[in-house]
Amino acid sequence: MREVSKSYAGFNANKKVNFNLKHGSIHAIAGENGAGKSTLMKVLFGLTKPNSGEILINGEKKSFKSPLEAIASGIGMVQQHFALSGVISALENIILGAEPQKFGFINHKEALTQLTQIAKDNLNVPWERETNSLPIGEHQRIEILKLLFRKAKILILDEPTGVLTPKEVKRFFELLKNLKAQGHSIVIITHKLDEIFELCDEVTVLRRGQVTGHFKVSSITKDDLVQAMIGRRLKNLPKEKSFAQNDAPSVLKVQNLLVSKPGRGKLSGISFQIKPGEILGVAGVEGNGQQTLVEALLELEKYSGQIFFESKNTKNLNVRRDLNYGLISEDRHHQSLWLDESVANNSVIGLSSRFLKNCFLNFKAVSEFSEKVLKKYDVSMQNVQQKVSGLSGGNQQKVIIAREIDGRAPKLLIASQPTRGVDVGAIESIHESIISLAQNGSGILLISSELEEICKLSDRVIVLRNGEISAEFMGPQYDTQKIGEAMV
Amino acid sequence: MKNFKESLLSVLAGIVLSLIITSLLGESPITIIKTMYYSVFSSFDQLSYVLFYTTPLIFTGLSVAVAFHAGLFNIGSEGQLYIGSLFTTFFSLTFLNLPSFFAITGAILFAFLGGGLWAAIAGFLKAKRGSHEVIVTIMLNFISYAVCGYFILGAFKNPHSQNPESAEIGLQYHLHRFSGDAPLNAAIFLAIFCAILTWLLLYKTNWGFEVRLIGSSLETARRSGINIKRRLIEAMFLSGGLAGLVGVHEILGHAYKFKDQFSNGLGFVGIAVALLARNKPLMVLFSALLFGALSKSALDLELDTEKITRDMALIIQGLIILFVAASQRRKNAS
Repeated sequence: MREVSKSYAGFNANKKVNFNLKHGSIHAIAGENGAGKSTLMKVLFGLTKPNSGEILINGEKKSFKSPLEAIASGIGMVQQHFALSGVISALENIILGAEPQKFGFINHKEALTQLTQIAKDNLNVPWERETNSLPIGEHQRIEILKLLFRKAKILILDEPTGVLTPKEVKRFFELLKNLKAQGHSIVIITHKLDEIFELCDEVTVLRRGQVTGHFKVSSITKDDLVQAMIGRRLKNLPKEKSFAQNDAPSVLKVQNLLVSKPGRGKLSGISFQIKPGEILGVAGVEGNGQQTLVEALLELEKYSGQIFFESKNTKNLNVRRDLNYGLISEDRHHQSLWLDESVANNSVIGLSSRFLKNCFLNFKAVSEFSEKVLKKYDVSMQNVQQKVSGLSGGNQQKVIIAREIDGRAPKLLIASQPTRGVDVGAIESIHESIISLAQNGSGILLISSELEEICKLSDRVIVLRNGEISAEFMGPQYDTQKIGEAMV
Repeated sequence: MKNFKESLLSVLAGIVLSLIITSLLGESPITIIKTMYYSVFSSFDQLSYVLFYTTPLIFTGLSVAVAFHAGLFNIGSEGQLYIGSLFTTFFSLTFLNLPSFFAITGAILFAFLGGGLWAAIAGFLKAKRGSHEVIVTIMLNFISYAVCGYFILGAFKNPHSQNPESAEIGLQYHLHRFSGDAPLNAAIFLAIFCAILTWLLLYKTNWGFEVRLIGSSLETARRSGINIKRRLIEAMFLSGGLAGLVGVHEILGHAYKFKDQFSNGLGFVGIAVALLARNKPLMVLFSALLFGALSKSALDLELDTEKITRDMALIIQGLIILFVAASQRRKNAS
């Protein structure tokens, strides 16, 4: 790709970007959220037209009006959010839109023969099972098979590991290396440094729409890469000391919390407490009761047992309104944001009653408030009147963090996956905010599937397994091996 | 702005397509356009008739729009407007010696209260039990027809009439009319006032902020500490109350009595009005005006042409809705 530029409403998503993909290599596109990685790949895949620049494939100039034309030229892309229908079989999902036919009917037999050939040994999925019943890791493989079935030689994968468990990631990497050996070229959009070093041959770094570096992975260090991504070095502050006030009365005290539910997500009588200034980490594989715990603490789920906030029983209270709990939900689009509204209005969800002027909402005050709390997070946006759906994921997360931590200044913060899908620079500022909230004497419940994050921030760690606390560890140093063992 | 253009295009497309249909029937499109134009614009009287037809559609359009902002599909405006009319009839036939100002104010409040309470039943069941508002409001429509019939033919009966209608209300309840012939009355000011008030409520108050959040992002609202149940009931109350005000227009401004089944679908046309206005309260004024003009000109089409009946209005309405729905669908897909 040569000198590709693309701008949206005056905002330069890509500015004269050059990108070369070699045959049979794995090439990472790295950069912060909103750096223009996805835009560049959307141009390559024909999802959007560049304002200027050209695309050459095997030296031949191409211009794609739609993904169909890109697919015809051997390019395939897996979007960050999978595009699979849950109610049809894996096989049907793969052939959807390119079905081998016989007398106008779908020729399942022929499809299966073709697929088993493509899949060989390492890509087999249960072809006939309903897609919904398969784990996420299989969904990823189905998406890749979709591309291979359409004879793609160039595979573009947008944040492919975001939803995979560590074990699935390992399998997935082996698969990609195999594909590489078979002569496929792979582009991975990512902001996870470890992945780049483990998997990729080359990396192109984007920052604010421009290329800030193109490296052979074998010849650079992590620090160089971070420097290119965020324009500075990470301060990499370790959390120096604990702010937990162990003698003070607990902020949150949970006793025998029991939620009975069929299947996953039950809680079988857990107890714990959080002191002022303490960060309690909850580790565990997702789906072991974390969501239920959050819902119960918010009084949105019926439970037996008792929950005390500063020695007050919270049963049936509206804890968000009356006790000012801070909350970072794991699904930011559906649980934290109001997507078709402005950034400013999103900054005051749950706080809006503080901005009354006579009977009306004072939108000027709302905007000022939004600007004030967002200031230190360096959100890349035009202004606070912009729709929040137009921001990148990391920037959306910053809006939520600013609202829940700086806007609310809560005594108790429930942070569920606070840095999911967020780039390194933003992770750093989110972590700083959480630590400084603890420093001010608030209690924090940190639920995360990133073990590294838990170990870095927590004063104490409990592990949730199948609705029970399977182990407890005291900080500041943790043996991640042991925590990992307690998880499964 | 883009929405506005799309709505306008939908209207034009609906009209053009209808004209093609009528020319197939053998009526010249030019005659039809002329007839429709004269029917609406030729004199002040004609225009007053248009505004007369517009007024109840503003109320029902607003009613549907408000519920929609809370994520509720209120199909019960029809029933709510009947119960509102029943309440206002009750008030007018009970308090016979009030001075005009208090009489009319009281009757307006009762119309609102009646429609509001009727809709709040659906809101309450939705909030407490999760019952789907579409089913509940449809059922409440049928109940309302029966309830109104019961009172009109019973307690409120007009002893001097063989028609299914209530007794006449007193003169002090009559709303001001603007010309001798056309039934256009002061209720139109109430309608415009309600549109502005609804707009203020939805877009400028904290109540509206919370209601709209519930409507477009329920899970976020649930986790933000908003009292969802209460807001749902309140939104339904407001929605039903606005529909109930049709009673003011009909009983106090037009018939001066409750004629059984007078509405004949005003509540359902309200759904179309709200759809075309994309649930924007101020746009409801214009969209109701369009539907009012269509109703009026369809009557004249029936009189002045040989082959066209008043169903023409229904066809145009239907086509407009089809085009609006189609343009929304496309946006969702992209």
